[in-house]
Amino acid sequence: MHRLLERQIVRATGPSGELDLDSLLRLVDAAYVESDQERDRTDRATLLTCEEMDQLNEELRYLAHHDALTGLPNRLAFAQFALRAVQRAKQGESLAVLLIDLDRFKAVNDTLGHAIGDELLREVAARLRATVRGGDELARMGGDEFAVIQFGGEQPESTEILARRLVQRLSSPYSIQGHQMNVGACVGAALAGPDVQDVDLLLRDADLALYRAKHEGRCTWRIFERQLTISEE
Amino acid sequence: MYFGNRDVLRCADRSNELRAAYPEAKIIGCSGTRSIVDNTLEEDGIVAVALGFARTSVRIARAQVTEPSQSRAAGEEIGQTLFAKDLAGIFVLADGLRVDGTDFTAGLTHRIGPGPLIVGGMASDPCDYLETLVGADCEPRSGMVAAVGFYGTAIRFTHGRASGWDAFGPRRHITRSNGNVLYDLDGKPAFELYQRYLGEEVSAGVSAAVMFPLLISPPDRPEQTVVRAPIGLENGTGGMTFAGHVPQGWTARLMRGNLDRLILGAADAARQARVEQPMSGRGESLALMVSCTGRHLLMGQRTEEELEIAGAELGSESKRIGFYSFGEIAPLADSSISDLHNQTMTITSLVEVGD
Repeated sequence: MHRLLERQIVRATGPSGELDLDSLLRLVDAAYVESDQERDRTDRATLLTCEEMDQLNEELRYLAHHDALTGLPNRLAFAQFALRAVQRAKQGESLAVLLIDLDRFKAVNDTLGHAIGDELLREVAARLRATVRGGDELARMGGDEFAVIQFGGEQPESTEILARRLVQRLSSPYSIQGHQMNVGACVGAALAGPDVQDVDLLLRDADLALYRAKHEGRCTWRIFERQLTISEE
Repeated sequence: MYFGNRDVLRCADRSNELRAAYPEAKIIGCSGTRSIVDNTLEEDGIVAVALGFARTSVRIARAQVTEPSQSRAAGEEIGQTLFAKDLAGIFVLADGLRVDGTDFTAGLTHRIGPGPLIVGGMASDPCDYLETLVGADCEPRSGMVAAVGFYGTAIRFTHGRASGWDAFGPRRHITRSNGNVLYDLDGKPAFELYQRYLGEEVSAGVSAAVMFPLLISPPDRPEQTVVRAPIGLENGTGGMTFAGHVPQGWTARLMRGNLDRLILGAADAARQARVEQPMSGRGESLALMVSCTGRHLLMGQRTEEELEIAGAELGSESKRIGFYSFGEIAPLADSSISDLHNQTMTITSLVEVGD
């Protein structure tokens, strides 16, 4: 700092060698203002950057857990939902996992193109949102596969009602960019109670039920039963 | 060579006095926000240096630019005029507001090729951003580009360049730009981002905005970074003007300066220039210093500290002269090809070696 003061004294000294005290004080004041401005600028930049980075982190977290096409939670998010759901099941809450697979989606993609296929998936997601209750979890697992975790209700009646409703809603005709199309859906469900072991088993059971439903024909739903395992194995 | 306050340089008497004192000399110079002579910062006057060589010849070239689109052609014209087999180096000056420094440098380097060192800077003004002046064996005038070429094997150039600014915050993408006008970063108006970061200082206009230059790089060569400083805020079209191209598709990060880091940057530039100097048979050397106006705006009254520390590194046998510019022309890192830079201190040391 003394070097700065030396320079200020030189600047405030006239040709005759006389120090102009007012000039010196103005220079000193200006130096304080410069210093304050720099500190304020640094503080503001630090604060804004932290805010921006926090916002970016939020966006990244959202992108990591959501499907960009439909906006639904993705497979990663579903895995976390399922882990929490199993914990709730172990504490006595009844729940079911329903896996949904569209029929003839590949044919739509192949014949009408991916843009129409994408639009169809968005419409399917909208119908799913409208069908699933607020407290339940919904996700796109990838491709034309979706999943729901249904909480509460009398089992298996509640799940039967939801599975039937899902098949009905998703099988209603679609009109996309002037194209009329009928795309069905199959649903496979697995129920979980306090004796549920882990997420993987629950999903495997739901998958087996879905496999059976698709095997039995389009627009079908099935709930996992033990004999399914035996017959598939 | 001379550098000085624009309003003082407008007076024809000054050019006439210089010419009268050195009737046979090649005379080149420009306006600067501040001029440098040794450790002193000159605000209102003119500084000059007379160079004499025993075994080196010099040649001057100049061209007039009436609009930025002519900049590349002007660079090529200067290059065409100065190119020769024994060309050792070029010191170039260009109007800092009417010449597109990126295009001008590209035209010049295209004609000269990778051998001779090309250094210099963009003329500046007292930060009213109205007019800058360059002269080359004529009265300094607006729209001028000029260069002096040094020829022979006795002249040795060494060079250093450093910044001291630090990139911070997220990487952004330049999603809309045209030449040196930046419109959008990440799909949002760049000016809005600057408004937020400037806060109340936004009323100070571009003098405040230069405190936040951009570090830009091409997407496929992230190591090839260039600093770009704003020289014009909201220009009526929503764009911000920078002292150099801000190509669409490139990555950008905001930068901020810390006084101590900037000052150390100047020392680093001087060290680079000194280390490369020939150790034997050298006479007096001249250090041409071109530092960015943005550095001066940030450093304020501490600006002379970067001159002092650079001078200490260069040594007492080195005379120093230069100016604060609207852009520095110097080789890219690890390259012999020059480009336009912002917010850097560039030091070019000239020395004529003996037999």
